Amino acid sequence: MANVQLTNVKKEYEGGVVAVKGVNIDINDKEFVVFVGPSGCGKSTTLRMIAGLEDISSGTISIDGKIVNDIPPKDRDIAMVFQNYALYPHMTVYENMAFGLQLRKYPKEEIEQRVRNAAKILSLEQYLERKPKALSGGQRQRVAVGRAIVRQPKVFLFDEPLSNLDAKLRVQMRTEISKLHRTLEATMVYVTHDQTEAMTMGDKIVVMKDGNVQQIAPPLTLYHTPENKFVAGFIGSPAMNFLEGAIQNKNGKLYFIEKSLHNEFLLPERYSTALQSYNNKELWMGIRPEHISITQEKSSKEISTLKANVEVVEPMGNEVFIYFTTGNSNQYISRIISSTIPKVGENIEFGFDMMKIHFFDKETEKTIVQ
Amino acid sequence: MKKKSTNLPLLIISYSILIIFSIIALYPTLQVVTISLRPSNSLLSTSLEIIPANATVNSYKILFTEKPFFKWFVNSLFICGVVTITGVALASTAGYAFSRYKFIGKKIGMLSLLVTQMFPPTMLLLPMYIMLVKLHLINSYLGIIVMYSATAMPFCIWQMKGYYDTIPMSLEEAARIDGCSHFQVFFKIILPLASPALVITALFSFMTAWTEYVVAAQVLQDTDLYTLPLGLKSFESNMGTEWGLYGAASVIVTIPVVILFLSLSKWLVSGLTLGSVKG
Repeated sequence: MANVQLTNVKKEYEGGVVAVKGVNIDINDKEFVVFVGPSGCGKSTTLRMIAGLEDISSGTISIDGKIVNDIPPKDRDIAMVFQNYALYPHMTVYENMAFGLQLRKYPKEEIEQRVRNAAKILSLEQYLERKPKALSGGQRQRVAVGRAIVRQPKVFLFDEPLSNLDAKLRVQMRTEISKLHRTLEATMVYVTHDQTEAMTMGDKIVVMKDGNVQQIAPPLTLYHTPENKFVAGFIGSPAMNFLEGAIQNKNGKLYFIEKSLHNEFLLPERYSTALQSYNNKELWMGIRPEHISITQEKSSKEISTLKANVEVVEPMGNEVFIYFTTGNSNQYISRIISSTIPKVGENIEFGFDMMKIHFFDKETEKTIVQ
Repeated sequence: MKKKSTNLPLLIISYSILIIFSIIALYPTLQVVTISLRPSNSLLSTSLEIIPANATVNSYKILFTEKPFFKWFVNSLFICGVVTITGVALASTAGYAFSRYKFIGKKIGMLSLLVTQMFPPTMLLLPMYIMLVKLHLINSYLGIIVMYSATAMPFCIWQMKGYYDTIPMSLEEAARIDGCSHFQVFFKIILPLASPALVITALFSFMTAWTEYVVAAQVLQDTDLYTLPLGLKSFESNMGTEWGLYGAASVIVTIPVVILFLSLSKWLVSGLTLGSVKG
């Protein structure tokens, strides 16, 4: 197994379209790293550059300390699982899995042993003689994973491997891949646009947007201490609520004044140093849905209340999502665990836990304090 | 589920039309078989019997004993075999290049191939004849093989390119990661998947050469070099046509084509790539 290092890696296509704008990523040995971001953020292109399927415009990629920029995919000692499976339709499951080993001239006995072993791990033993067309989507994806693991490569690359599966199978395969990572103790790079997959699978997550890396951190670090507004909004479901407004100092106390309706939120002491320079300046306040509760009365001085109309109620079973508006067009979400569910159209008071809020600069969108 | 109701009068009309057209298509073929079996004294009989009462295989015997029919048959098989192999080999590789690679002149190349298909072959006859004379290829196997291969190639390349375009790129990428070189990707992954298109290309190349008369009549002048269509035409003379031989030869000419279609039919299946990738 090996580490992977991307240094100032850039990808520019013909016509001047820049897909990846000079990224620096260090992937340690045996680490499970997830690239996540919206469509067109450059995550798949970055993965394909690691695989050698795309040329690098500038920068270097090294695998296990060796620069691989000009090394063809077959000599990089990597294996890749594609979103659309990419199984060879004219070969059986066994032949699909054995193909890479046969090309590398492994002894027949070893090929047989490795394929049988992988088939056992992936519960594919009874399907070895079938052609891909006779398999279900989940089975095909397992064959694609099996084709990668028989090779015992230095690095495994996954390009949105679960996107074509239904929700239930996706959850099942998610845990299977995580289990596989623990069993094989391999370096794995996984691309997804699904932040739930990223949060549940990755040791480390690389959040990308417009060809740039926004933040690299473990899942919970990303969730609790996002470095900018994009990461804060992208990680977490439902997404973080953002309120536009300004900081005002009234009688020595700091308030966040929401822009459109001038709702006032009293800020706890702990933000005063960081927000001193932002007096009367516009910024973004962010708060996660679980930090907005339904309250009859202020339960503590760190809770700021706001009266709002309930627009939509989504009971999920173990929790309820409440979408509410404060009179302007902005919609906010509260996530509550409660037996008393408000009715749609009801005007109720929502409590904002001011100890859990984040502030972002209006211009740079970087985190000021959280 | 409710069974779909059948409209009987409509069904009768449909079947009647189908039967009429089948008869129109089959009757001339059967007539040729009948003529080939008639004794020489009743060639112009107006009887509608398919197998005549005094049927004989004499015409077939004469073909192989008194006429150089077997020689023409071998000539045709040889020429068509070489044209087919050349067509498949060149069209499969050229089509792949046009489908997968970016190179200068790709668009113009494809367009030029298409434009050549817009001219009737007879229009190209004179320039091609002059070219072959200058190359000293008139009255030779090589001359006719070059002519047939060149005229069939544009269609075959377009056909192969079109099929390659439907094979997902990710299959090639997976093979490259698995350890294939460019050639291995082509031979181990792409060609097996393109077998339906290869079969069509092979059939097209073979059929073009097998039934062609006009070009062969210009290029091949020596009776020993004749292909089957030229041989058939030779039974027709100023004094009269040997219809029995003509019929028997026609029947034999169709046999290799039928065998070829039957043996390749299992490859003429669509959807070979089914199951390789999620559509």
